[in-house]
Amino acid sequence: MVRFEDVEMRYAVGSPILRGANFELAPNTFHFLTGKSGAGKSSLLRMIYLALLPSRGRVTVFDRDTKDLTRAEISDTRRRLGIVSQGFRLIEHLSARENVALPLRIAGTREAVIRRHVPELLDWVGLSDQIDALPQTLSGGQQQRVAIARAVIARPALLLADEPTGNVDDRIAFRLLYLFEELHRTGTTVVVATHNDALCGEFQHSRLHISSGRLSRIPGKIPETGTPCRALPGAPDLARD
Amino acid sequence: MVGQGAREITINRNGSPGFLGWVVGAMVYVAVLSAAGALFAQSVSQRWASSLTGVVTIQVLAAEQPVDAENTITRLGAVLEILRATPGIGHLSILDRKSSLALLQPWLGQELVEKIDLPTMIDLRILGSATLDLDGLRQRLQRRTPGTIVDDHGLWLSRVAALTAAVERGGWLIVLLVGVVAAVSVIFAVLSGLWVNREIVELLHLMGARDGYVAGRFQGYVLAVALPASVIGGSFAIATVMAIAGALHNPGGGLGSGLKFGGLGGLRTLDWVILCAVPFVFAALTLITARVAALVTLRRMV
Repeated sequence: MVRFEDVEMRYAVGSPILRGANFELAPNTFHFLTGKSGAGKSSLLRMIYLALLPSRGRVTVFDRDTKDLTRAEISDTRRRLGIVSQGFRLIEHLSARENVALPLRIAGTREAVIRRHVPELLDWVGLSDQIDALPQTLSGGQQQRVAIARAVIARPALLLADEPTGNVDDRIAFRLLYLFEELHRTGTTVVVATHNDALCGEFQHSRLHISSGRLSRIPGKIPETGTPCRALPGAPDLARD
Repeated sequence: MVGQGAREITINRNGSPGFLGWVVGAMVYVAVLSAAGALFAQSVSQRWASSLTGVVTIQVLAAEQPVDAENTITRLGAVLEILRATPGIGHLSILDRKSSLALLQPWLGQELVEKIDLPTMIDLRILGSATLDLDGLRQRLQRRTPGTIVDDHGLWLSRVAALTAAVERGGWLIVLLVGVVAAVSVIFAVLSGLWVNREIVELLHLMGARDGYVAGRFQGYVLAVALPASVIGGSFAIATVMAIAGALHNPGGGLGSGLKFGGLGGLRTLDWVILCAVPFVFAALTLITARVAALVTLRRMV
């Protein structure tokens, strides 16, 4: 699904953020990405979601070298990804419903399908009472759940979450992680970047750890491949191309 | 084109039509007025040309004087003889000295009028311009009755045509310039919109939106502003044109009533259709400009 081969990442100044990174993310696996702030977790995620090309080496996403993708192919590849960022990045003047609907609108999904699925997803993240609320009227945890609903509504094959629990307390962080686990059990590959060791301790998944530009892999206690147990609400007719 | 449901992109958060709306509205107003001027010039020149082409006026000086020693034929008689022998003349009417004087008398007074040696005027209607050999006629008249003037109004008409053509070209040039100004305003609105909304644009890209989708959002915004602005500007302009046309058409108005402008200030039905189309052409122009500007800029953004 994602493969890094001898990847080096450096910005214009300073030493490389990442050196000699080699790893592969198999389908339907769950990974934490850990390391101190500024260790390069976000840069690594950005290379996966095609916002950044490696300085050296090769990054392959869905069997395509990211260097070879055209602008249109980048867009099409991103439709198969779900991205949850630390700052939520909700559009302030749109309601929760409209924010969650965006990926479907972009994919050209029929309005009738959108009208059915968006409330289901908001219900799944526990926000069925806040469907028409504007983001600024929601708490941090609620906004993050809207962002998660938006990231998963188009049924991505790979979910990338960058510090999804950075702005919420531990109790809410755990609840968010349960959502990710539930998604993982339905067959999605999940990568959660975090510096919250308590989370990694509680959810014993495999870890990719970045320290001083070096990436190491720490196997988890839970087998990497889960078994799909419960389908997400709706979904089958959202099949991607 | 305009997205259903949500509007991700807004250029003015407070919802006012803002700079772009005012510019487009004003530009459409100017464009419709200029187009009306151009169409008016065209229609007037055609109307006057058609009422004067096919008419030749002959001035016979000293019409009663004989042309030969025997005193058998006057200059007027000689002219008429030549005209009767000339093919291509349909209708012929003579405005003799007496009727000319009667026309002038109220202006000049009886005494003065009697002292004037007025030429006799002959109006000819030509059967199709190709059938009459004007130059040949001129030569023959000159030989028999020197000093006879043949006026086909060509010089006057060509001057009127040059003037109206210049007005027409000028009018369309203004429409073009105003269109360019409107397009440039749209480009600036889109560029500033992309800057103000750059985080949303980046977010849409991260969710897999292609440039065409993002450009579509800007088009939707620009159309929502430009279409009402165009219609309002165009309505004001057409009201203005109608007021001017009404003033020209007013039978009591001195000079206007004498010159034949025709109904509604000389504009034809097709002209009114064109004028009503101008605002929509402008709205379409802003839409296309917005799309191109957004696509070109997005390709340059990362």
